[in-house]
Amino acid sequence: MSEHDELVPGFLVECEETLDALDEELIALESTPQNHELLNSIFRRVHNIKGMCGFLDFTILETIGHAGEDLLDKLRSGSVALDGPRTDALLSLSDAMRAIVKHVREHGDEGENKYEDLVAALRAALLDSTNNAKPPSGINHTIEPPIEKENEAHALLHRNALDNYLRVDVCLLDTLMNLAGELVLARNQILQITKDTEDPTLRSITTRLSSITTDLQEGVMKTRLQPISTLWDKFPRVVRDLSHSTGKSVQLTVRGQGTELDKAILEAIKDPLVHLMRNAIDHGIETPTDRVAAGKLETGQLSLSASPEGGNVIIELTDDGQGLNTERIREKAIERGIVTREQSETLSTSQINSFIFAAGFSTASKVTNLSGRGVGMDVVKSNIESVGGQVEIESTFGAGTTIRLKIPLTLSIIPTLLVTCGRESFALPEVAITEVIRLNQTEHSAPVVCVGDASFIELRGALLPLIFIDKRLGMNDDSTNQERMIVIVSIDGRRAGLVVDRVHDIQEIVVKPLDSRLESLPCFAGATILGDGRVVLILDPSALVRELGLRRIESVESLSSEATDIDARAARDEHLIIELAPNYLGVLPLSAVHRIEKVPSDALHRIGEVPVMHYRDEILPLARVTTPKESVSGEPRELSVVVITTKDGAKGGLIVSSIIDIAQGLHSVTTITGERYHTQVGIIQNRSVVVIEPELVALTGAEDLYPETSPGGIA
Amino acid sequence: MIDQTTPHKLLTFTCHGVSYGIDVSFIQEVIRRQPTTRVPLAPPCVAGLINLRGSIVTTVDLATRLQLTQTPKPHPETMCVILNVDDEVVSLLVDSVGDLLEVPPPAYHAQPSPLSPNLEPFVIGLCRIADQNILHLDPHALCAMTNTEASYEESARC
Repeated sequence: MSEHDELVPGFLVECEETLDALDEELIALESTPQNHELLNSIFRRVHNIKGMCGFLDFTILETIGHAGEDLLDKLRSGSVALDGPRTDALLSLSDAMRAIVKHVREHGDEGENKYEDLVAALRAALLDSTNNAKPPSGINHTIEPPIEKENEAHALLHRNALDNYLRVDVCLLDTLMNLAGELVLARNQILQITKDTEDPTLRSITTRLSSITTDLQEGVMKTRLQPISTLWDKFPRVVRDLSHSTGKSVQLTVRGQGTELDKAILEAIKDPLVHLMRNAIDHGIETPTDRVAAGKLETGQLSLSASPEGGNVIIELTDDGQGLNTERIREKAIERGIVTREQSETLSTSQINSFIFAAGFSTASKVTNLSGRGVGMDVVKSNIESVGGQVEIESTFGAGTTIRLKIPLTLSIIPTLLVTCGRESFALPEVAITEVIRLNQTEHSAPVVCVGDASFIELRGALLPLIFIDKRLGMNDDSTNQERMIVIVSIDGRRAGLVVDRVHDIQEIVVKPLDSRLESLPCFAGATILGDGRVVLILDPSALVRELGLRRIESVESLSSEATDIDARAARDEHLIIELAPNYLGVLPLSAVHRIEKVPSDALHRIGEVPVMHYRDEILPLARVTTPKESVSGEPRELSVVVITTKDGAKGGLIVSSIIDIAQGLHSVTTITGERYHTQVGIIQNRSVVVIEPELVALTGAEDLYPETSPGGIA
Repeated sequence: MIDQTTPHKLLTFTCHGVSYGIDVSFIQEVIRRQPTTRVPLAPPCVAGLINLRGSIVTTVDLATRLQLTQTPKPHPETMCVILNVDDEVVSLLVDSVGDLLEVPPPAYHAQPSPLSPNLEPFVIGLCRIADQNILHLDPHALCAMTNTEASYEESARC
């Protein structure tokens, strides 16, 4: 290499940026071939790289650059017209240059490949001029010099603007970011100490220190923000290449390129976005013939948009392709044992569609080929979630798919609510929190309902699943606290209440990752140091809520809206309210209740695991709900058994403690699907109840209808 | 792996009355026991997290790590030996910290046997100096905790 070695790294960075811009401009040029300004800009870029190469002694790069320059010059003069093959040749020039730049960066030289084919192709593109497309050359030549001058002036202006920028190593920014974070911690510590000070000087200094620290931290954070266009500028090329290779016609529209995100987050979402885009073109958008047959425009529409929303950025990728085939996904999910057929019938379309995010769901399935989306969707989801983002999918079969990503603006400094549980303190990210209420266990106003190992509380007519943090974290501190607090979090439309002992104030904290050995703990998003120097763990509400296996809340009205027969609806609406165990209410659709029998407890027999009883020359399988309390109190002498007939005529019996009432107006039905249970809960007569499925009772007839721990019991 | 000709430089410390040593090259510093934040669901040997001048460091309880549960704990004055292993900082909770020892090669026995199974993965050598036995510990083995998942499962079941 030459004596200008120290110039090489800068040249490489500049090359890469130029090449990215070049790609973008070439794609734009393809659709507006008459755009002279664009053509000039492309020419200038290639010319610049070539010029630098001569100086730095990169001969291969110079040769191909020269060949490209020749072609661009001809295009500029109008003696040849830009067409598909010429664009391809120019794009491969950009690829070749990129490959060489990469080689130089990694190995220090240009590599063996001389790109003779490319040079030949560029030269061939030169000669192959179509005479009829050739405009009168005289005009062009007379116009050209002023354009050139103007552009030079423009370039000069551009350069002046560039003088205001400075290249900074990202490592340095990371260090500054960390230091700013440390400063925030130190500031918090000082604020804590000087909180009660009487000294006015000290007070004003700390106030000043505080505001400077905040400004500094924000400033440093901003240095790491980049417009999302730095990522998206590569996408037109991806779309072009993919649509060519799949033989589809796709138009990409982008909105909100100016939206800014932290560099680390941009890096993290790059691959998932490319993957989603590939999926949309490969599987979503149909071939032109299919599209025309389906009455759509021949060109598939793909739109990408970004918009800030609170502390997040929403990125949406929408295609007007064939959408997800929900039925196939359902079948596949049943086949793979993710849900049972019965369960799947209670799920909504979006719930079923979300199965494509299950690990390995689609890789070996036909769903991928037939209805699109799939390979590696679990990876997309986990990548997005690793930066604290969320993925949602909305799809209409035949009409298209929208994938919505919710990405946090920045990773490191977040406001959190401090809570204590037992002797431990935890920080809860404020973004997820919707409200904080008191859990009053002594009053009967809002009793906690337990279903299996899940707990609920009724809140303003809806059921709120509860997570007792101390129990979840396996902490055995005796908590005699009756006045506990519920922090209600909302993740992705799913709500849950986190039960803690006390809530404190909101603090801005610097998220520090946990030791690599502790990273696999699912409940924590990291740790932080508080103003007083204490270390606290940061709870990860999304992981906690996800564990509940809670799906989006669907109301029973919407589920039954297809019912046209009003009588049938009214009949379905009537429910028998029963007490399954002390303080544990359930409802059965009255239409399924055949009879209520009182039987002596010794009339019960067992066949294998299943308790049965004789009922009118039939063997009736029995089901019951056992709770730990009941098993202690022993078996009563006489049992109430509700005999159930299903629509199919199957019979079963449910052992209950007592019959409460018959009522209408079951509402707020929520489906809970978890590893350990799958059931529905709802509200009737202002009481929280379990909605018992008659089919379940008749078919399974199990000792324990909603088992505490056994995973096989009900699923 | 173990050089037989040059003397080992070990920092010695005790835990449940037994002396141990770790190569000084892995020792960053020794501090008094710090207020520790418990990490629920973590492996039992993780005593918690401490604040070491602004960075969060995981503390490993040596006694639990070596499964020395039978012997009663005689020392109330616990110390933290801060290790730096492959650029990862880990604090090791010990009963007391002793001297810096230079072990001459004749007094050093690589791979001593027999060892009790709980010590086997961690002990790489034995030093005999003035009737005192010092077990040479492998800091890599002490810091490697691949069983996080398993123990999480266990504690979740409790």
